Amino acid sequence: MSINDQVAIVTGGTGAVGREVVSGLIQRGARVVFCYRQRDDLAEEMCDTIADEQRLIAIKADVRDAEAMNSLVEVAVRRWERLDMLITAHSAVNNAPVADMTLEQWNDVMDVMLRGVTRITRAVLRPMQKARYGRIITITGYQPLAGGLTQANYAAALGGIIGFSKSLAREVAPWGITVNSVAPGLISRPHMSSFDPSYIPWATNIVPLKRLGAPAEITPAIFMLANPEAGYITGQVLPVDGGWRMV
Amino acid sequence: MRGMQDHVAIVTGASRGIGRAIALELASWGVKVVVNYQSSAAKAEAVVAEIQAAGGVAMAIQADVTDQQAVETMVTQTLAEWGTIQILINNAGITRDNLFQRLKDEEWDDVIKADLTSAFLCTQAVLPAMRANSYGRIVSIASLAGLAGNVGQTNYAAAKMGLVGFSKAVAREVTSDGIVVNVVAPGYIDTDFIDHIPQWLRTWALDVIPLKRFGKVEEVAPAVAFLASPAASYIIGHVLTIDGGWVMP
Amino acid sequence: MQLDLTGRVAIVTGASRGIGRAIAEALAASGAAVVVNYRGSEAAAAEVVEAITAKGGKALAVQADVADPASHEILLKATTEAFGRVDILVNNAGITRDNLLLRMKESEVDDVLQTNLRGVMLLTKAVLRPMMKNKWGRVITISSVIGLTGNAGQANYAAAKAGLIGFSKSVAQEMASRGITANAICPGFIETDMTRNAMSEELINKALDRIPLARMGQPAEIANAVVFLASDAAGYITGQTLAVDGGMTMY
Repeated sequence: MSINDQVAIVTGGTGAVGREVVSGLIQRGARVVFCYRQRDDLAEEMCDTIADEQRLIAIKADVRDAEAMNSLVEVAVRRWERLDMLITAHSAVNNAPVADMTLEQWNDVMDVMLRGVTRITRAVLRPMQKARYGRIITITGYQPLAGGLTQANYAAALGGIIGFSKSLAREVAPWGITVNSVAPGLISRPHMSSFDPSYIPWATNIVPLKRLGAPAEITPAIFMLANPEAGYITGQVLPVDGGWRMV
Repeated sequence: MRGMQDHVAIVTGASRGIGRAIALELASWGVKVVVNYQSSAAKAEAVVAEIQAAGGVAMAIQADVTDQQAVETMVTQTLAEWGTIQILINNAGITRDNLFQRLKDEEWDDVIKADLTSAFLCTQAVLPAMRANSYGRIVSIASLAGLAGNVGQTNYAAAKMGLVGFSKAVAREVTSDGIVVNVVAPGYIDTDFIDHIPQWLRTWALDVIPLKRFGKVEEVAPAVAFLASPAASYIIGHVLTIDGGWVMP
Repeated sequence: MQLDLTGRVAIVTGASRGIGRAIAEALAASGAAVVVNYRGSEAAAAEVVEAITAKGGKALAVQADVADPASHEILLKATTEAFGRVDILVNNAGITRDNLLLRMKESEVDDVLQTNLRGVMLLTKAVLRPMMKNKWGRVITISSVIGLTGNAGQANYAAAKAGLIGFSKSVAQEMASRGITANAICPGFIETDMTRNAMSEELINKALDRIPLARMGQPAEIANAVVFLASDAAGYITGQTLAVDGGMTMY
């Protein structure tokens, strides 16, 4: 059993992890509709590189827009008549110390990260239930498990994703749909240079593997959970953190 | 708990249930308690009267904790009256249960606002007063439903696990100010909420809980008071489950 | 809140120093009569008893090796003879035989498991009977964050401490209907003679990097949690693992 010829929807497909998810799915023979919000250039580049319109569709769509999420699903189902996987990889960071965080910053992150997951999930459930099969993988993070400085909103939203995923896992289990979360640990990002210079030495000291993770190292866990064979794993949170926390 | 005499606490949603029990418990340790409520003025006043009758100090303050302005006013009132705040208990919350596919947008939004955004607003509002003392205790009341998930509660579980994430993030930020943040996650506790669960679920739950009974609000409140006391100085970002041994996470 | 332990009788294993001593003193300060168990440090145990009685508390030092089941009966008998009952067991005694697993001798594995796991299981078993008769009991087991996270050089210790968590949860389930709760506490990096002597400044600073509170914990901070869990107030808390670690694990 494999995900060859299966159909996936990926949100935040142009993000650091999203890109790895999309290309990994394609490599494994899956067909993918991904959405992105801003990076036309990256989306175009991905489509050019992969150059297979039969297997890859990029759609500019915002997870804050429920209608857009519905049409994402419609596109996939109309084109390929099936929908097997959802991977939520979109991200919105709006950091501030909790004392200075505005309600707008709070609501923004909540709306994209948490509410966004519920919108796309709502849209994919109908075809999955009809097929009595589905793999939903939400990407959360270490923040709800370990906290994160100046990320009260992000940690809350990502925690929300975990609570949501576990409850949904219980609700949709009778249809053969599994719902799991992957929680990346300290991962190197393109905008790393904007971090406090003490961050990397600190992080490398506390992670047993003595280095930050790469976005491509998150995806094996996602693909494992997306596999048809993973049908008895549901409601789990799988940290991929180089052994950082081990709790 | 020793060393809480004359501390000032705000307990949100304290007119009934777990919040009420926490208010009474803290007051019994000499803490001056703000009994926050949204609409049940009579019940809140009854809690205040009960505290006063036992020789404690309390006042009721009406505030919708999803309203930033109202929260700030509550904190200002507290400071005007008692001059300081050491303890915040983020307890207020609601449920709007429904299966995810039938869940209405407002059922989602109302729960997130009331159970999660409220904690953000209250925490933010009390931080300056706690920082001024270089001391503070914040305890948020989450739920086992957040840790384990629950059918019909995608919104509630998201809000409550969100509260866990929020608390841990804040815990990291404010430790250097002497402020300690923790979470208590009750399992099935005998409150109004429990009256609404179906009989089959009640029977099942009582069977799987090792203690073979629901918890009492009086069995949650002491743990909250412990984490709100100076004694809990090295417990940070912890989630303490009180569930009669049900889940044992 | 009933943090008053007057009339309760507690056994604290390994109570002659460090965390065990702080626990014994805190329980006694809350009114419990305390058996200060020790294995070899007779003088230190006597000092703890003296410190407790000087403050008007009740305490008795009893020698027993937790690793040796034969001495469990002696410990129990001495307790009931002196104080008439036993309500609270604090499984605190433990040893370390640190080594990288590849270099670890069989005896280093056996010694640690013998005391830290097997000894705790059998002593708990012995103490449960009188607790069942009273229909009230508190078993509080001092595990470690190492039991949650593992640690290089402590494979034996981590295995024993993780084992204690599973053990404690099982006792919680078996004893729930008897009014006996069982909980584990996971201390983080606590300032004791053991940590002070064994660790260099550099090692300590590296460890502090992982702790949001950026300091070591004090034995008394563990004792506070023990007193709470030992009280009537904690009656609906069972099978739990409470990390007292300055935010190291945020468990």
